[in-house]
Amino acid sequence: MATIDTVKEVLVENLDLDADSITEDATLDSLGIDSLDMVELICDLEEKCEVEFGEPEGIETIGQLVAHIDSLK
Amino acid sequence: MDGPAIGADASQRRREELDGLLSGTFNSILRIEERSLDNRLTHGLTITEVHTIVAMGLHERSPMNVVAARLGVTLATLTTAVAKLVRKGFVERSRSEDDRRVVLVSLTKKGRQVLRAHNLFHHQMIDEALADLSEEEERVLAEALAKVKAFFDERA
Repeated sequence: MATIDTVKEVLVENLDLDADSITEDATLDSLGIDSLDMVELICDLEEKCEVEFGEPEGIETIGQLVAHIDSLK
Repeated sequence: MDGPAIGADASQRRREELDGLLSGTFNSILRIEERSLDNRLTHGLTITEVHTIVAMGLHERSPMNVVAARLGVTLATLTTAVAKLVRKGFVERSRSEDDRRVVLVSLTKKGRQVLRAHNLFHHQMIDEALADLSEEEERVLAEALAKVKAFFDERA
């Protein structure tokens, strides 16, 4: 599965977001994802994508999140 | 480099002020840290349990004695704490492939959530706490506190 689709799946599951609103350009802020949501999201994505995420700073958009995960694969 | 000389009385008063500042800051940080646990990821844990989780590392499988040393507690104390965290689902135990006698501990997904939530709290707290300091004040504080901390660490 493409990383963006996994991200969508987890966000829809965790936060009940509309899948269509989750685009590469969407900011975490605009989607209403706060820092604790992000902690949960990262821990879920680590399991699903089988990566070790670390504690990166400065991720503001879905696109940046996807790029970071792909850089770990 | 010494600053301008101040009188013995003023010096004494400043020492007392610093004593109060250190204890007061320490107590406030503890209280704020306790309060920070009241969120959906760390609810129901004590601050000691959170620090035990943090000492295990995000993606490490660490021998019990290494974690005990990081926390400055005995192996017996850690064993009790870990048993409870395993029961609560934050930590898992495994055996080293190299030496089956060595017990390794690592975080589950739930444990990693706690570690990250706690780090997030620390980042936010320090950013806000230092927001009103100038670059120079921050540098001087760091240098002075490092010296004071070294004293306390030696005796702790």
